[in-house]
Amino acid sequence: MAQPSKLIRDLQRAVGARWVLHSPEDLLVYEYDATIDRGRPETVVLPENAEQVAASVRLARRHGVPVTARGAGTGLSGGAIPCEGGIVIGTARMNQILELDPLNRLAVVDPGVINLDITRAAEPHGLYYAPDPSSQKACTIGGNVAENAGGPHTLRYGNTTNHILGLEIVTAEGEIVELGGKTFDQTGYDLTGVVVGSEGTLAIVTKVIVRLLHRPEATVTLLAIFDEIKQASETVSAIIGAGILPAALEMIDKNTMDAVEEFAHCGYPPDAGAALLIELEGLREEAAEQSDAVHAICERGMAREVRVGSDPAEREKLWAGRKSALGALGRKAPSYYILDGVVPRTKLPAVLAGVYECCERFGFAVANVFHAGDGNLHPNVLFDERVPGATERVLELGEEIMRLCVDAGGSITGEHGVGYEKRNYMSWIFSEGDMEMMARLKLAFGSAEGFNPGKVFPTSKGCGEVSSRMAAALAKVGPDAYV
Amino acid sequence: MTLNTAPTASLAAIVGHENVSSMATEGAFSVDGLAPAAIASPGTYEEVAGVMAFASDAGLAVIPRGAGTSIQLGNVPSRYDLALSLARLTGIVEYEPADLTVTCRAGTPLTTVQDALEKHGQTLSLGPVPAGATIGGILAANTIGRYVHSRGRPRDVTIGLRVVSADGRLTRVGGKVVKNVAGYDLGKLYIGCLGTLGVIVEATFKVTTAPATARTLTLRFEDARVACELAAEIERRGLVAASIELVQHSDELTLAIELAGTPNAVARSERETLELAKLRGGQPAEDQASFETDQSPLRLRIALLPTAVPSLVAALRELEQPPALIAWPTAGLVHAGWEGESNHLGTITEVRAQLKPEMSLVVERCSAEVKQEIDVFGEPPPSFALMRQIKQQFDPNGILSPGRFVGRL
Repeated sequence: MAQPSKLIRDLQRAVGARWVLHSPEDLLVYEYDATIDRGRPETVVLPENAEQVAASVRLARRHGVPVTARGAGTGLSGGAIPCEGGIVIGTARMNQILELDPLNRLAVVDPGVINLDITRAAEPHGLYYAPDPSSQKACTIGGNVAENAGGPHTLRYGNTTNHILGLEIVTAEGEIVELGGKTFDQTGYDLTGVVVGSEGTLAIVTKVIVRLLHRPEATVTLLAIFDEIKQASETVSAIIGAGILPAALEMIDKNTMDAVEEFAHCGYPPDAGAALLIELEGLREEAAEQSDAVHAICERGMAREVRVGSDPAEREKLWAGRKSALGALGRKAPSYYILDGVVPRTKLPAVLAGVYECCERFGFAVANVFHAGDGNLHPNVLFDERVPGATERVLELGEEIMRLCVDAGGSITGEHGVGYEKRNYMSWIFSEGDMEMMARLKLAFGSAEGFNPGKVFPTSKGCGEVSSRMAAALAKVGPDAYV
Repeated sequence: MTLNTAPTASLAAIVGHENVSSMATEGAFSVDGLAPAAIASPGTYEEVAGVMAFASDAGLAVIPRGAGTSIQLGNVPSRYDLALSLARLTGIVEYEPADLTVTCRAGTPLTTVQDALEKHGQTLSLGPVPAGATIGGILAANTIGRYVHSRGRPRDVTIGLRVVSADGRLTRVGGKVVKNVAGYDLGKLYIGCLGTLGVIVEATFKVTTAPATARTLTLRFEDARVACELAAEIERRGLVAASIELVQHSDELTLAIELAGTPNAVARSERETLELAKLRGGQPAEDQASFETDQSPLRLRIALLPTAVPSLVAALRELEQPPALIAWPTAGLVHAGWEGESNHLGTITEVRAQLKPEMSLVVERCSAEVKQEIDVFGEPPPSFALMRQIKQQFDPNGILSPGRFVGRL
C-alpha cells in the first residue's frame, strides 16, 4: 500500500490516525448521499470537536484542497458529495446534546445529533423540535441547517431557519466563531440566518442552538379520499381559503396509493384518485372545531370517505401510507427521481395537471406525494435506468417540471436545496445581479471554493465522477430514500 | 461634502424636479442633528436604483428613510449628504388572498397593508408599530412587536425582498412562495441592517388568517416574577395568547394577555388564565400605554432569556430613577423608558453594568449629545469581523447609512 500523502499524515496528527479514513473501501461509503451524484474524497476526517474541525480546515487550506461537510448523507440535492474531491468532514462523532433548557425552550446541540433525538430528549419536558424532514430518524441537525430542511409540518411551523437561534461555525480561515446566541434578538447582522441554508458553502457548523416548542395539547388527523385528484387539490385551496392553517396538509396521488397498497395495506380503495392527509393541532377545542370544519369542507369537495384519528395509534395508522410511500414506490420501478418544486397554492391544480401531462408525454409513470398545503410538489418519476437514454430523458422531464413551477411564479426548491443538481436552474429565478450579491456574501465569508465547491451556483463543471450533468441527482430505489 | 447645484440637477434628472429638495432647514430629514444637503424622493424602483448609482459615483452618503418613526435607532452617522425618502414608493403590488401572500412597496404604511388584508379576514404578523411606520422601515429596523409571542419576528414572515444595492442594482432575494430554499437567504441580512447594506424597495410576506375572536385580559400583579410565571404557564398550556405584555408604569405592574383564536379556544383560555391569575393574586386592571405609543426620550431594549426577565425587571426597579417597562416576557424582550431629558449617559451606564451573559442591550433612543459619546449597540458581538467584511462587500465605498450600525459600520 502506498505511503499516505502529506495531507493525510498532517490530518492524522491533528485528529488521531483512527479518525482519518483514506483506504478505497473506507472512502466508498462517503462518495454519495441520497442522490446518485458521486464524488470520491481524498480522505474523510471524523473530528470530535470544533477545534479539530478548525485544524482540519486549516490543513485543507494549506494543502489547497476543498472541504465538504457531511452529516448523515440523507440529502436530496448532492449537498454532501465532494464534487471536487478533497476532504470530507463527517460530523458523526460530534453527536451530543450539550444543553437542554426547558424553561427557555432551547437546546444546544452538536451538529451530528440526529433530528429526532432532539425531540426525544425534549419530550419529557413536553417540548419538541418542530422541523421534521421525513428522514428525521437518520438526518442530522447540521445537515438540516445546511439545507434549511423542511418537512410536512413546515406548513404551520416553517423550515429549519425559523427554529435556529445561534450557531458556532468554523470559517474558511479555520477560525471558530459564534453567531447569534440564545436570545430572540441579537446585535448586528443576522449571520445565523444566512448560514442556515447556505448548503455548506460558507462555513462548517460545529454547534447549533435550536428553539423548542411545547407539544400541542391535541392533534387530530384526517384522511380524506377522493375519486379525482382535481377534487383533492381544490379541497386544499378550500381549506386554506377557509382560514384554517393545518399543521400539515399532504397529498397522496393514485399511483402512490397503488404502490402503498401493494405492500403496506393502508386501506386505500383501489379506485380512488387521491387522498389528503390533514393534521390539526392546538387546544382540544381548537383541534376539534377545526377538524369538524375541515371534515365538512372535504365532504363539500366530494370526498368519498373521511377517516379521523385523534389518539396516537389511530393517527399513526392514517400516516402509515404517507410515511411508507417512498419505500413502496421503490418496488414499482428500478429507479425513481424525486423532484422538489414550489408553486403558489392557487396554482397547484394547474401545475399538478401539467406535471401529469409532461410525464405522459415523456412516457414515464409519476407518483405525487407532497406537501400540498404550502404548494411544495414532490413528483417522483419512475423509470429504469438500465434502459439506454432513460436517465437523460428523466432529467429532461425534471427540467420541464421545474420550468412549470418557475413559470407559475414558484421556486426550484422548497426544502431539498439547490446543491449540484439544480445549480444551473438558479438563473431562471435570479438575475446575474441577484447572484452577484450572493457571491459577495461568499467573499465576505472568505470561503470561495474552499467549502463544498460546485454547489448552489451555476457552473459548467461536472461533479466528481459523474461524467455528464444528466446522470446526476437520480435517487436509487429503496426503502432508505426519503422525501 | 456639500452638494452644489450640479448634483441636485443630476438628481432632478433621475426623479424629477418636484421630487428633489435641498430645503432641509426645517430639520424634518435630520438624523441625530445632521441635516442632509438634499432630499430625493424617487417614485419607482428604477429611480431608487438611479439615485443610488448616482450617489455611488459621486461618493454621497445616503440614508434611506420611511416615515422616520425609528430614525432615532442607530449610531450617529459619520456622514450624511442625501436623504433617500421612500415615501412615494407606496402601494400593494400583488395580493392573492388564497395564496396567503402579499407584496407591497417599501414606503407603504403597515396600517395600509393591514387594512387591505382585513377585508379578506387576513393579517400580517408585524407590529403593532407607531402610527405611519412603513414596511421598509419596519424591516430595516427589524421592529419586533408584541405578537412575537405567537407569530415570530419580521424575519420569520418575510419571504422575499427587492433591494437596491449601494451601487444601484435592483436585486431580488427569496421569492413569492411560502417555502423556498433557493440561494443564500440574503433577506435575513437586509432585515435589521438599518439601511447599511441595501435599500429595501419591496417586500413579500406570508400572511395569516385573522383570528375569529380576540379579547385582552389585563391583570395587575405585585411582583414581576409572579406575572412572568403566569406568562410561562399560559405558554406551556398552549392557551391561545397572541401576545403577552408586561407593563410597569410608576407603581402599577400589569400583564396584558391578548387571547385570539376560535371562540371555544378563546373561552377556555380566558377561563384558565383567570383561574391561574387568581391563584397568583392577579387583579383585573385597566389597559396601560403600550409600545407603539411610547415616546420616552430615553429607551433601552434588552434581549435576554425568558427566565432572566423577572430579575432584570427587579434590578431596573431598584434604580434611583426607575424606568417604565414594556416587556414581552415569553420572548425575552424588555423595553425600558425614561421620561426625563437629563442624565441619559448615567442611566445607560448603570443599566449596562447590570447586564449578565446572554443579555444584549440597544439604546433605541437617547439625547443627541449622549449619542455622540456611545455606541448605541454596545460591545460588538464576537462575529463582528464577519459583519465588517459583509459591509465591505455590500457597500465598498461606505455610502449607505455610514457609521450607524453595530461597531459604527
